[in-house]
Amino acid sequence: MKRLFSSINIRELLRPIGQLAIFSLGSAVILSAIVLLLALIMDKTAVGLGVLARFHVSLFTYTLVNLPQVLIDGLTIGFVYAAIALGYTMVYGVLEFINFAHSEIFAVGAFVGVEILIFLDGLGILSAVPNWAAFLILIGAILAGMLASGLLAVAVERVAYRPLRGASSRLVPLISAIGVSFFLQDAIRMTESLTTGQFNRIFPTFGNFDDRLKFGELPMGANMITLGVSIKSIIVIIAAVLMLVGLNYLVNATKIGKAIRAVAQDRTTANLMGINVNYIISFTFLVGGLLGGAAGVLYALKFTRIDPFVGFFPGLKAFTAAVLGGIGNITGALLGGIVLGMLETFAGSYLGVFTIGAAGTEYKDIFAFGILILVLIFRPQGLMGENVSQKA
Amino acid sequence: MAMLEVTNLHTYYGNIHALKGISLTIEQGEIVTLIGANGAGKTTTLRAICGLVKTQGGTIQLESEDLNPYKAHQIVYKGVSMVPEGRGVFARLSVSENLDLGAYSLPDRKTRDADLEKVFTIFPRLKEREKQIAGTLSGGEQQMLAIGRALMAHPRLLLLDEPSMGLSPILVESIFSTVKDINRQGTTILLVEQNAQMALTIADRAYVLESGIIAMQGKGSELLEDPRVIKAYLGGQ
Amino acid sequence: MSKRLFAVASLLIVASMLLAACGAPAAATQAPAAADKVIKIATQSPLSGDMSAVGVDIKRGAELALNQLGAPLAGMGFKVELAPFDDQGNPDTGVANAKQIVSDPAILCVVGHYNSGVQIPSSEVYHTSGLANVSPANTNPKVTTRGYPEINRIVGRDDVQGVVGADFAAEKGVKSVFVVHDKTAYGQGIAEFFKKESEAKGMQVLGFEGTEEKANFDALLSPIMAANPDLVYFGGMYGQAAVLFKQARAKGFQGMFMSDDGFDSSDAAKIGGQSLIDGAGTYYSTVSGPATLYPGTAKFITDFKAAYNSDPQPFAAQGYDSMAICLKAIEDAAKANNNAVPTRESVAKAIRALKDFVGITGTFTFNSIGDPTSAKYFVIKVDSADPTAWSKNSIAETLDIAPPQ
Ligand SMILES: Nc1ncnc2c1ncn2[C@@H]1O[C@H](COP(=O)(O)OP(=O)(O)O)[C@@H](O)[C@H]1O
Ligand SMILES: [Mg+2]
Repeated sequence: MKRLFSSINIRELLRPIGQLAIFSLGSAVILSAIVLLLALIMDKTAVGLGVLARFHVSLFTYTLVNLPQVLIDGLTIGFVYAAIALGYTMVYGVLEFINFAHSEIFAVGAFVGVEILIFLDGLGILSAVPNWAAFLILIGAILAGMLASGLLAVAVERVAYRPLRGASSRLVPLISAIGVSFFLQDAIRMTESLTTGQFNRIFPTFGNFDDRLKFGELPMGANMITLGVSIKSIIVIIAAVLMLVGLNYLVNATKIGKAIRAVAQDRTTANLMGINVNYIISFTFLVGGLLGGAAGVLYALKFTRIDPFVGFFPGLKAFTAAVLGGIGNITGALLGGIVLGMLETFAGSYLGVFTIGAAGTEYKDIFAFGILILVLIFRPQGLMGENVSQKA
Repeated sequence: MAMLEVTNLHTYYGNIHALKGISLTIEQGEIVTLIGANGAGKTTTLRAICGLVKTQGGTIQLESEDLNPYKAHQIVYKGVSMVPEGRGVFARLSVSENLDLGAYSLPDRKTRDADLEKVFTIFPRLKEREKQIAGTLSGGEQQMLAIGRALMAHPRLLLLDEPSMGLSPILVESIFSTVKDINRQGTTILLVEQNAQMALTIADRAYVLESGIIAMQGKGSELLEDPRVIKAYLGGQ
Repeated sequence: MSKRLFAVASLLIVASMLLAACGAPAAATQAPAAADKVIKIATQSPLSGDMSAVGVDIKRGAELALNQLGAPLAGMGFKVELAPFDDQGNPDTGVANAKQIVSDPAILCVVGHYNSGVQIPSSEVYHTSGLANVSPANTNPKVTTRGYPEINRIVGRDDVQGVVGADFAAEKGVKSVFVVHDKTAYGQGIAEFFKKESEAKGMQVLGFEGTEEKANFDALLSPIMAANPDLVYFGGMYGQAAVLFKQARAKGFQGMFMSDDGFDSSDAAKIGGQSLIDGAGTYYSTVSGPATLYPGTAKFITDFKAAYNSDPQPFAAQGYDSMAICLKAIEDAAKANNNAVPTRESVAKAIRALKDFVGITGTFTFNSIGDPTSAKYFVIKVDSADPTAWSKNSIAETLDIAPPQ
């Protein structure tokens, strides 16, 4: 026991938690400062007057009062993006290849988890369970989704990517990935239509995941804005943190993690060390798939409804997050996910107000992606650039 | 029983016939050097032994066992380690992580500390740089790391591909004397070099490779005197 | 389970229908003397696939009407036959069928379709040969706004739903609204009408936002929660609406939710659950209520049950009325043509010439583009979080409204 404990590298366990805290706080502080500054500047303009007319408070007060909830929401979605982004970045790190099918691997995880829960719900099991049991059932569903996605990712690599690994053009496996992506989408669709006949699948309501912890209320003119976070958001955040910590530990403090990093840098030399490169690549896909599957079930928990195309947008966002952070870099994926989630939520929440309704929430992606393009113009290698990626 | 016996080895890169039936033998405890001009096929020979290129004719036997059925990553488990041309350190990993990867093939890490100690005795510089990222080491240090990493696997046969490449004369001297030390401690060595002078000086025996064919062979000291060798590889003095 | 049995049953019926349809031309060739007196009326609806439950009953409603109301034409010496076609809810199939339909000169009128997406391209084909079409179910404005003289419908229009919703909200005492839509022609169209009517009724519109988001409405909910409107309106489909409503409720929104007939699915209750019932509740507008809602349908329901041994699905009664209109128009046109087989053009004209035609789902007069001068709209209240109780949702209001000009 003591031996086991001493062999665990505590530093590697704590490091990502510190990073997460810094990234979260950092992006929160920077973005908050920007909107508050904007609010101060525009307080006396038409924007401020518009807010005064509609909400009977100053623009600055409006911005400030809404801020805590925006931060919580941004962080939650940011962690979801980060968890998916890890799958892209792991595979890219090892193969320098973008696994476009990862979004569907995520979707399969979501479907497996949700179908299991729907099945249990149909047996009447879910409605009566106490909260602790609901929690265990949820964990079971997440594990099942992980397993399905993990195995699927391994199978996809074996069947659709490995035979193309020696291909003359990098585009060849990329096209294969796009093909797999479509194939899996339709496979989900077909399976659902042959079995349940339903396109939309809904995460059953059970346990107390929908409950909301209230922190308090902030007065805004005549309204009270309640601050709170739902239990499921907390679960999403904690699960994502656990996954990130686990992955970081795996990659940076275990033998197989070293092998992964060795294969990522130089496959031939890794071979000379006695590393079975094919095995490590399969393992990398397995890990990416496990993370994607867990993210899928968590996503379904948080957002209730899934359909065969559920992977597309989160996948695209997570891929963007991975690029923003510096693709191939695990720490970068965390940072990218958090920054993108925050940016998007800030844009969605404040755009309407700051543009007097001319550009509302619907433009949040354009705005967020516009900023990403700007960032990438100045840092094409992504926020965490090449140099910091030594360890990941 | 020879440590390594290569017989009539042929390899191709596509249409390029890189090795045209070479044969060589290395006895237990020897330092054997393989010299030759750029493009002669030296690296290819080492890659074939390690399983990194396919042999298309001929055999490679390690202590009478045919290596052909084994994949590249399995060869190291047979006791063969290679220090690749250009060192091949994992540039973004730390020195100690590189060394750990060298011991990847060992079943457990019981001997890790002792092995590390041994490597650090041979290359004290590596101990000073233990936590440093390998890519930031100097060329000589990277060469030390590559050799140290290969030693971590407890090889019986060590293949070195141009360890002197790009190093200052003083460093070359020191690397070669280290190679000799390693050999003295019991590791059989196949040394590929363009620096024929140095290689022939420390080698027990030598092979000269020309365009994929063994052109000459003999004792290191003998080849040093051979006029053809002097003309072609030793700067013609 | 019963649903699956039903699907199998309807497939069998479809199969037998197809056999019957195949038999018909053979009979016609055997009796060439009567051929000039044969008149056919086609139906187009999904008879197979996942919408076949409704599609088959549209056809059955039409068939029942032909059996019950065919006497006047028979009295004039015509043999009137039903020519059912399966559009599979698929535009390509609908158009292919339409081409077959217009090439059969005996067909003088088409009852169909169920999906606007199928009706719109198929009716382009009817239009090229002047063949009259009475739609029992299509609510997309484009069905009639193209202004084709032979294309008509007997139900309301999507773009009136926004007006219906806003009028209802005003009656309920709603003072402020926040409008969200899905950026589709359908959802945004309804939302814009809702917004306009809300302003006209003196309600404050606190926001108007489009979103393609399907999952994470957190960002959108920030301004909504800050604005704290009495009502959140969603123009679009339940897949987005119910998720939005659920997340709004989770954030503490206590006001009313409202949406359009895209919300009319038991899956909305599956997604939204209790959050649809909490606070000031959830309402949606629709153009078709259950058959029981219409004044003249009691006899229809009994007859339908007797003939087909099952309850009529939505739009079965409209299928009946569409057929009745076809029959009446053909009769009028034939009379004007000395009891000879009328031209397609004259049948189309006769439909537009009908004045206060009394059907079972309403009294119909068509305006210049083929909309009924007044159509029924319903506002329905979600009564239960239980998806299986969805069909028992209560009618909060029934309105007769003229189409927009
Ligand atoms: N990857 C490769 N693809 C094609 N030809 C190669 C490759 N590697 C080496 N060769 C060719 O094989 C021959 C032997 O190369 P090599 O073994 O690297 O020579 P050396 O190590 O003696 O300089 C050369 O002609 C070289 O051009
Ligand atoms: Mg070479």
